[in-house]
Amino acid sequence: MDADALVQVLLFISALGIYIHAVFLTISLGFPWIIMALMYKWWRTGDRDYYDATRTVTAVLGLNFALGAITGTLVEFGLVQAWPGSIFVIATFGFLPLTLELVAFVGEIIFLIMFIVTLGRTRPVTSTAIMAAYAIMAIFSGAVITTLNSWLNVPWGTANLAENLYPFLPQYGPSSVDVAALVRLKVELVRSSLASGHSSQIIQDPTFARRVGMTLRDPFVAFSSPYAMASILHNVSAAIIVGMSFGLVGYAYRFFKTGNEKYVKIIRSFLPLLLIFLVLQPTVFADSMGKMVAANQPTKFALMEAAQTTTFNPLVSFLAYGDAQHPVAGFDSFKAACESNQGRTIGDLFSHLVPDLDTEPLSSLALTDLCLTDLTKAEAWMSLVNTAYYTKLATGIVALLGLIALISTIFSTGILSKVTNRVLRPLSRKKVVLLLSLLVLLGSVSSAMLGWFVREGGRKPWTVYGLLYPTELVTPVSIDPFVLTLFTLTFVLMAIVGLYGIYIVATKRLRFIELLRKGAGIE
Amino acid sequence: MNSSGRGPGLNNLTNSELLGFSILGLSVVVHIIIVNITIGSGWISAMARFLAWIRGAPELEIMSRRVFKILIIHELFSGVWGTVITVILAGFFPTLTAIATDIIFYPILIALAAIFIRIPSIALFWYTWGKVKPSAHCILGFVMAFSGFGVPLGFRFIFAQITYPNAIELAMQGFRELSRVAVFFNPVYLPLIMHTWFGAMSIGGFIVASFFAIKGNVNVKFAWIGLWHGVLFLILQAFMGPWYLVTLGAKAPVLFDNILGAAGSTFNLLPVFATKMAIVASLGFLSVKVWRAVGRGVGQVPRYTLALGPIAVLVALIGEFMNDGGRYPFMVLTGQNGIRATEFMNVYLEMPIYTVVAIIAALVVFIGLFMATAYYALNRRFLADLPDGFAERT
Repeated sequence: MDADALVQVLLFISALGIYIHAVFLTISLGFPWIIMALMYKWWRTGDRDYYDATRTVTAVLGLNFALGAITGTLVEFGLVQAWPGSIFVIATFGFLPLTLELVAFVGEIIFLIMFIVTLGRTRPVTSTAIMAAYAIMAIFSGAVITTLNSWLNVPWGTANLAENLYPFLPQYGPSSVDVAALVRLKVELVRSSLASGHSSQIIQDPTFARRVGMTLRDPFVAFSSPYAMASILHNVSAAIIVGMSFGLVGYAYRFFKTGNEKYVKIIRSFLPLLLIFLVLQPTVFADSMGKMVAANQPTKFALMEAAQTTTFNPLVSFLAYGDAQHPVAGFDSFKAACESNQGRTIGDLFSHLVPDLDTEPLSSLALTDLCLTDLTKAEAWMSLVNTAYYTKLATGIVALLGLIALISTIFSTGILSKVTNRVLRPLSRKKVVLLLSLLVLLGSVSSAMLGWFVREGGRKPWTVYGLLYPTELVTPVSIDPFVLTLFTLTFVLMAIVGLYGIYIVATKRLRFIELLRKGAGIE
Repeated sequence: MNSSGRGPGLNNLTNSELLGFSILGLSVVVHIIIVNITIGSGWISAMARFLAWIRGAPELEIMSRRVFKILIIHELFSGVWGTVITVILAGFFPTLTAIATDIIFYPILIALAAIFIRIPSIALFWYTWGKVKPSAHCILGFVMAFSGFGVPLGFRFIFAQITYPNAIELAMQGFRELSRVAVFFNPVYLPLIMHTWFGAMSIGGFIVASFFAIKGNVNVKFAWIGLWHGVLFLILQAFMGPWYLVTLGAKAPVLFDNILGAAGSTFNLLPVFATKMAIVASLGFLSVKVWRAVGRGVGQVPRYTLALGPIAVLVALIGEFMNDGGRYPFMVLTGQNGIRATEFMNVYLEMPIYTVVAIIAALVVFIGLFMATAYYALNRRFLADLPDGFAERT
């Protein structure tokens, strides 16, 4: 299997792993808010229903955490196994984010276990504080991982290195790297690819490592990226919304099946929190994310807006640039920018950056050709990214409208409640609550999934935006399709069994009390 | 890649190299010790659950659940250190990690598949207790137990390879595809994995015996079951250990010489090896005494049974330290020589040593806090012997 074929297969498996992991990580991030809301209500009212619900949600969170940890392991191992070239990134820009993630991971485990074993044995306010500590660690974990992913999207600290190759790109922060080292790495990757069909194996060679040498001067640079900060707020809040929506549908389904109003009471306890996140997400976090994409990833922004040519769209321009008159840069302007390198070769550029470097066989490659070729590859993603982006916006709106309607059904919101009740009158209250909850879940899940696709697909053809391609990072191992299929099926099967386990934990009653009574010597 | 000869002056690693080597060594040793406990206790818990169902012996189900609590607490701990190892390897030793993900690709895949099955099945086994049919629960228990063996089944290929790099050598000669198959035919692997599995079973048994000798938790029948597991596999280890040592003598003379403190050794471990043998002997002696007192589960559990588990863990700790640290200053052994840790060290960035030390210190403090909480919870029975909700109804 050549590198291109491997990339096709492994991109799919990596994406599958990330999406499955996302199911569990959203619950890990969303359920603490539900638990804290339930604990608060229990503390204020002393109502046992809230405590019982807390226990059930906690059991689900416990099992879910194990599943999240294991699928996270797949993503982490998958990164180094399937994309060993990424070890270079882990050993440089990703070193501190990943090391800090260890602290977050341990913190999550400590506070979750502490919460589980002390629940009902300490005051509600203490339990709530422990759960808040868990939530902080879970958010911290999400933040540092997002920081690493953000560096792949916007390689902060490489200054104008990518801009030299692609003149339409901006400068990425201050220069925290030894440009010569990165250029040497790139040349060696290309050279190896031409010689053997694969690139990433070169980092196995200690001699090569010494030849590249000291690359990163500031190991903290990934944290100073404004793109990372916007991504953290955007991604973490999206995950919280999806996680809380799973809980919402769970209780709406219970209400639908039993008609017991206590489930509506439970939903009511955390619905306002969900509304706050769902309102903040598009108005603050997504807005800030969009501005960052427009400023730092022009090709991705053009793909999102299907801007083959430069256009004027006052609304988009105002939202993206804060200026309604600002043109939305299209691929025509990028291609024109490529032409500015007319007559120059990679050899010219690299010999300027690293005077003594042997750049063969790259030296004669025209910079304009490279730039135009990559733009063509990026442009091929246009219809997909554009459709995904606008569908994401639509599904996000559906989630928000669904939640507002649900709130006006469950709470008394004056005229809004009257309108909602009138529109949904033909349906029973049980059906309305379930239907609207499903709208919130499906809307938020679709929005999150499509949003992630836009984030990852939009930076193609690069893995490290403007610098490295997937073929340069993919494993040189020609993986046996049978082994790969078996491995993937094992993973998917365990995810399905895990989800079924969550269902059992959340719904089934105990059956073997009598046997255990005997075993415990109680009978 | 250059092999360095043995001799004076080789042991001078820089601060960051020593830090990386030490943190990696510490993580590996701690991880493997804890994994041993979880594999052994997982097997005993699954067997007890099965026998409880087959024999209609509910007290065995209580035993299964109590033993399983040992596993839960240690599994999380081992999982954390497993992740630490991955990050330290990729961060400090990127070239070695890159080699492993290529040449040892398939064994790592096996270990990963086992982990995928292991962790969810642990959570499912705990949370579905009393909520699914006993037959289904027993099957789940065995899936959980066997998947535990699958993790070292894959990862021990890495250890075998850095001890006797038959596949890496093939790869360096250009036979890269062949090397990925050759990794499965490493002569060091079989004695190593058998030594590992039997050690895990032995440790699990002794830990269980000690657990049921704790004040307030004493149960002679349960302690007996743990004891005979521990003793049986300790006897088998009397064959596995020498087999592994003899194999090292033939295939990894550096490690063999270091363990036995032979002339020219780079790290004399003879005193450590002698200590290990003495501790093994005392473990055997103590086991016989407890065996007589416990009398097939109908006698008394003497207080000194408490010492069995910690002693067994100490034996494994020393053994793993010798197996890993015994290659110092080399990372990969190549017959009479080796490749130094320095060769694989991260040269791409100036290691922020103080930050790394602070992070590791935070990790150690956090994990200490976690273990204290976990053991306190275990001791105070905060993790219920009976499924969730049952205690409140009775």
